[in-house]
Amino acid sequence: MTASSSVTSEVGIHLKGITKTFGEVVAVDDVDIVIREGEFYSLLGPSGCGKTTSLRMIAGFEVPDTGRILLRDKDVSGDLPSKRNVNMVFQHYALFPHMNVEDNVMFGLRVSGVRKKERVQRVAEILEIVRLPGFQKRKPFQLSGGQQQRVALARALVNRPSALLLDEPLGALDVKLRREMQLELKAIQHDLGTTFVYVTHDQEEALTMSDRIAVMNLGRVEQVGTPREIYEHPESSFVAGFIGSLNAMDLKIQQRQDDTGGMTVGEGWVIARVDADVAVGTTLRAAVRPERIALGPAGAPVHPDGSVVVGTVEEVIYLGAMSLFHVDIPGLGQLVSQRMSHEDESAYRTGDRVSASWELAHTLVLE
Amino acid sequence: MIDIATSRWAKWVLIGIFVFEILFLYAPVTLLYIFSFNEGSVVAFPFVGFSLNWYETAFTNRGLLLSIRTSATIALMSSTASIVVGLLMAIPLARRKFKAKTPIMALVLSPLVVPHLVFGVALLITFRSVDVLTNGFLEFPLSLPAVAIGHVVVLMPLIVLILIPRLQRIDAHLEEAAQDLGASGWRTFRTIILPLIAPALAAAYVISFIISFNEYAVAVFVSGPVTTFPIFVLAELQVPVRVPQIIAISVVVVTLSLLVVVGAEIMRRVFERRYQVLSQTAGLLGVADADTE
Repeated sequence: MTASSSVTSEVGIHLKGITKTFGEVVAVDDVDIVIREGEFYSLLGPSGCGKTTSLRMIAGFEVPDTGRILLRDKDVSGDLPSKRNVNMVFQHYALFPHMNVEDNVMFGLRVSGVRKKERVQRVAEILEIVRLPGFQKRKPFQLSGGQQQRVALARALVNRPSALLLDEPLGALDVKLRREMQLELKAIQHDLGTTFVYVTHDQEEALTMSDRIAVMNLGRVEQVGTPREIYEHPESSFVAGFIGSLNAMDLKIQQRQDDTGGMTVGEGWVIARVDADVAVGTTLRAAVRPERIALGPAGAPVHPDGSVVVGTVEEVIYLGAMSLFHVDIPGLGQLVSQRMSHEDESAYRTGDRVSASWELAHTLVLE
Repeated sequence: MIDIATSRWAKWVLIGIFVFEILFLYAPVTLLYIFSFNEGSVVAFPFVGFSLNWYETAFTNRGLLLSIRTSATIALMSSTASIVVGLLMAIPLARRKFKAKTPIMALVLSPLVVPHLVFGVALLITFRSVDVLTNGFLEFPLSLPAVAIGHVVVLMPLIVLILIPRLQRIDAHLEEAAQDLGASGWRTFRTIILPLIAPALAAAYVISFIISFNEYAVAVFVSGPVTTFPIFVLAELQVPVRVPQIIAISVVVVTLSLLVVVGAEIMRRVFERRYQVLSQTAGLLGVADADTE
C-alpha cells in the first residue's frame, strides 16, 4: 500500500534553505525539503508549525525571505502563482459559487486556452475519476461537503499539474467521510502518479496516506521518513509525542553493557539500546508505546529479556477492540498498556499486581 | 439571551416607529398622489374633481422636461463615474492590508459629514479660483460637468460604504484559487469578483442615480446657467398656480424611483437565491470556525 510504484528517484519539488517570517514571527525556519516525483508527501505538525506556509510558498502565495524553490529542477522562487505548474486544493474548497461544476473544473483549461471540445472532454474524464460523473451542471451549493471536495480536486487535477498541493482538504468533513476520502485520495494519487503534497495536523491521516512524512514543529522539520519510520523510530520527543501515544520516562543510566544501558526500578529494570558515548550517570529521555507493553503475572513477565517492571493495575478502560490498562509502577510512575480486548491478558482487573514488560528494541531513546 | 425585538416594551416602540412612518412619510406621499389628480388649482381639500390636466400641463412644460433631462444626464455621468472610482477605492480598502488604511478610509468617507451647502460654496470658489489663478487659461465653465463632479464627491463615500461589506464577504481563497489556476489579476477580477459583486454594484448605481437626480444644495452653486430638476422645482414652487403640475411630475418621479429600487432589490434577491452566494459563504465559514480548533 505504501511506496506506490510511480515514485521515482527524480526530484519533483525542492525547498532549499527556506526561511519565512511574518513580522516578528518566524513561520518557516531554514527548511530543506526534497519531494520525489510521484510521491505522496505529507507535511505534518500542529497549528503554527509552518506546514501551511511551506505549502503556500510552493504554490507562490507567499514569497520566502531566503532560499529557493525548485519545481522539477527549475527555479520558480520569483514566479507568480499563475505561472507555476502546480495546483492547490484549498481547505474550504474555494469553489466559485457563481459557476456550475463544469465551469469550475474548466476554469484552468479555459485560462490556458484549451479548445472547447477538449475542455468538455477532459472535464468529463476527471469527473469520472473523482466519481462525480454527470455532475457538470450542478452548482456548488447543491453539493454536499464531500462532493464539493471532489470538485475542488477535479478542478486542480484537470490541469495535469506537476504537483498537487492539498491544504487540510478533509478538515471540514465528518470522521466517516474523511476516512473514505483518505483512501480515495490515495487511490487517485496512485492511479494518476501525480506528486501530492499534503498538509495536515492529523497524524492518523498522514500515516494512512503518505509515502513519506515530514514532521514539522516551530517552523522546522523535525524528521522525514516513511510512516513506519516515523512511528517506530522517532528521532525526537516531539515526533514521538506528536505521532501516536507514548509512555515517557527519564532513564538514568546506572549500568552499561555492550550497546545497552539500564536502570533498576524497584525489583525490575528498564533497559535500552544506547550510543557508545553514553556514560553511566547520564539521564536520557526515553519512551515506550502503549501497545508494546505486555502484561503478565507479577513473577512471570512476558518479555523477561527486555525491560520488566512490576506494579498495580489502577484503571481499566474498555475501548471496544482494545483496552487500556493504567499500571502504577512504584519508582517510575504510571504506564499505559494497550492490549487487544480479546487477548487473555485483558482479564486483569483494577488492583491486580502485574508485570509490565517490553522488548529491548521498543524502548525509544529520544534525546 | 434576551431577544430585544420580542420583548414587550420593544413591541410598542416598534409600533410607535411604524405609526410615525405612516404619518410623516407615507401619508404626505399619498397626499401628493391624491392632489395630483385634483382638478382645482389650490392644493388643499376639498377635492374638486378628478382630472389628468396637471399631468398634461407638466408633460408639455418644456422647461420642466428640459430640467429632467439635465438632471438625468448629470445623474448618469456622476453615478457612472463614481461607481468606477468607488469600486477602485473599495477593493483595496476591503481586501488588502496596508498601513494607511484607516486615514485613507476617513478621507474617503469625509464628504459624508460636510454639509452639501458648504461643499457647494467651496466647490464654486475652487472652480472660480482655477479660472483666476491660471489667468483665464483654464476656464472652468459652471455647467453640467461641474455639477456632475460635485455629485461624484457626494456619491463616492456612499458607494464605497455599499461595496465594502459585499467585497469583504467574498472568500479571499477564491482569488487565490483563480490565480492558482493560471488567471491574471484582471481575469480574476472580471470572472470572479465582478460577477459576485454585480448585485451590490447595481444597487449602488441605482441609489447614486436617484441621489444625484434629487440633489439640490451642491447643484445650485455650480450649475451656472443650467437648470436641474430640483432647482427647477424649487423655482416653480414660488409661483402658486404652477404648484399642481409640480406635484404631478413629482408623483411621476417618486413612482419611477420606487419602481427602480424595488426592481433592483428583486433582482438582487433572485441573483442571491440562484447562487446562494451569501448563505454558502456564511455556511462554509461557520463550518470552518467550528472545525479548525
